[in-house]
Amino acid sequence: MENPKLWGPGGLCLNIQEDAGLETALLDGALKNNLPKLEFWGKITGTTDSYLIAVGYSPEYPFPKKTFFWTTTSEAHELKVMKVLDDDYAAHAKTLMNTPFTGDPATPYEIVRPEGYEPPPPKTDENGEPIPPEEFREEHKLAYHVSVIDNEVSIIPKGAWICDATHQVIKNVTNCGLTHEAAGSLRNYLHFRYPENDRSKQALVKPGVVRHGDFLDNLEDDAPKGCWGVHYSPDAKYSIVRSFYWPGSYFCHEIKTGNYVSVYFGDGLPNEDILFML
Amino acid sequence: MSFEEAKQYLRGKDEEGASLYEHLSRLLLKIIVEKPHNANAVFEQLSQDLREITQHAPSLLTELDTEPFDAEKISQLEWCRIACHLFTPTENEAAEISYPDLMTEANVFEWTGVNFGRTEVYQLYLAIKQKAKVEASSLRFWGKIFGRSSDYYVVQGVNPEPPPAEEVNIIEGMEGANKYAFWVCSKIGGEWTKLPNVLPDAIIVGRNINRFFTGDLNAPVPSYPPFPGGTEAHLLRSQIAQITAECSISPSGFYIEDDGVDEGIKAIKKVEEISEHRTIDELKELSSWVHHELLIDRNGRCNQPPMNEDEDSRPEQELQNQPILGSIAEDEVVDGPAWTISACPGTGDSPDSTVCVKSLKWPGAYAVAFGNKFTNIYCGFGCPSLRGVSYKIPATPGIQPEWALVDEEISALFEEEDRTTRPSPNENTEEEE
Repeated sequence: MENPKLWGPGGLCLNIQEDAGLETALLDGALKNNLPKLEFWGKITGTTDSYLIAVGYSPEYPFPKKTFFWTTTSEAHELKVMKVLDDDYAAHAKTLMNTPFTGDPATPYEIVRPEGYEPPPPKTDENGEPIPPEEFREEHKLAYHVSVIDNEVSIIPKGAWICDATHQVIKNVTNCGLTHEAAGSLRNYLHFRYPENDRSKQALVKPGVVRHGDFLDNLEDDAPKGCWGVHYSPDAKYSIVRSFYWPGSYFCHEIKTGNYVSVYFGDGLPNEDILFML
Repeated sequence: MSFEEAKQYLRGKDEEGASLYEHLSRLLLKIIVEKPHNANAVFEQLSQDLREITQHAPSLLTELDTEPFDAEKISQLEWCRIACHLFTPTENEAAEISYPDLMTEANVFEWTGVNFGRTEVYQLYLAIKQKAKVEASSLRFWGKIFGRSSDYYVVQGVNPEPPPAEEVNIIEGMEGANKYAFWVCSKIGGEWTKLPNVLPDAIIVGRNINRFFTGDLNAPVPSYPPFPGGTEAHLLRSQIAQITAECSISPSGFYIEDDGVDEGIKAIKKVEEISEHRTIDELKELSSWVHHELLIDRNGRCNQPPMNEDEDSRPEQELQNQPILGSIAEDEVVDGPAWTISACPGTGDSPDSTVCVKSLKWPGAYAVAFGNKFTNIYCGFGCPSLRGVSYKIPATPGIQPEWALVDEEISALFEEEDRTTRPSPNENTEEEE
């Protein structure tokens, strides 16, 4: 919570215990994993405890690599690297998309295999000993939800990250933010992910100067219409963007400055009833 | 920096709309046309001269300027006006009105992860205090509801205009969901709007629909079944009524059943002074927390309406007796208990720790006990969580059966033969004349 003013309109915060724990954990995690900086990503609430999630960016072509870390509120001072799921586990996690989190990372979720399923040969370690496959736990489910949510709600104002002359996507240190008028349009908020839209993909690889808004997908194109809401704070100094497909996703930008915050504070479940609710 | 980018940079316009690119090209053109022999030496002067011709002295805006303000300025000036108004004291010094000590409560809310911003909380405090003095009644801060284009701040007070007792069959008054009135505003310092009283039918329909708020009180609520009242103000009031009834919880002992009301009506009152002090370990048990508002039943009511004259006309009104000051331990959502409890700080809890209770049914509803006090707060979308179960549109009611004859009626009824009556020819001829 570096800039508390940005959090006010969202009505949310980390409590002192989490904030203090993370202050240590973010620094520690960055140093141990050789990343320039870790940023707070969000909080997924479970029934008994909540998960705190952080992200670190490392330069990579064509798009910066995101590394996620997680911990629970009760152990906020120590971050663990998020699991990376293989296709099999990702497919299983997808079936659990609408199941609420318990808050205990060790909760097992049984994988029901179809009849006649033959498990792939177990991987072996350097001595040729087979490694038993890891049990699917809530920790794995968390990894899947975070990657899906990040893909859909991690957003930046136009110009905050740019594609430089060598076609590296880098943070724009001289970013002056959006004007008042621009801040009211979803077109100027971009998904911070490797683009999915063909037009953006081409812009990212085409030679020459890449304009700020061209190489990332903007929110205006997302379906259904109305899944994003943008409005100004009463004093017109901040713009606030919320997703209604992922309630709890919150973005706030201080107009005409480079300050913004994009976080997720929710139960981790998609709102599949959105079409009834708009 | 590529050539194009460099050019773009040089072309960047300043406040006056002039750019260095423009200036340089004019200057070079001047040199080439006039061909001064010492162009190199006088370059600076030439530049300065040219500037004096092309640029005007900056003019300060005066009061007479009729330049139209842009949207940003208009909304900011408006904001400054209403925010300034907050800081001027209100005259009406009515006795014994209470308003929340929000600054202290805000620190407590923070443990649950709710924070409205430091200065906003103070402004909110001023705004509520002002409103309490205007209304001459005690108010409490109820919470904040997020909408699609703006948010609602909600305050709660005793209803100054409850529906009259004669209309109890249509709408409940002080004994039910209209005990309190709610005022909302979308910006702190803005006008508080009183929400309309809630009908039992609105609560029943409100439970069957699931919608986000738009942020506009007059927005229509298109829904099935049709929403009584039809505007967002009514829907907001109905959701607030449900949240208030279900999420107003406190450690037991703060409230007792009120005996001083009419027979057959349930009511709850606050204990003047609480004697026993609960320990942290006790507070961490769900069983030591109770609902301190009347629950709203299946018919959208807190109390049963008085018997109708024709008793069998509304048999669906009969229902189970709802517990009064019931424990929250019995509340359930589809996948388990409806509440979770945590003590904050979690590491090394002490007698001074706060205990936070979180609702799983209404995400954003919290209760916190600290010291010998407690407080309730709501900060969310105003929609219940379905815990991962998909929303289903309520089914259309069955087709009403055809009217059928009962045996004894059959014998009494017979089909009448068709009768034809001819108009008498005399009458017709008279009219024609």
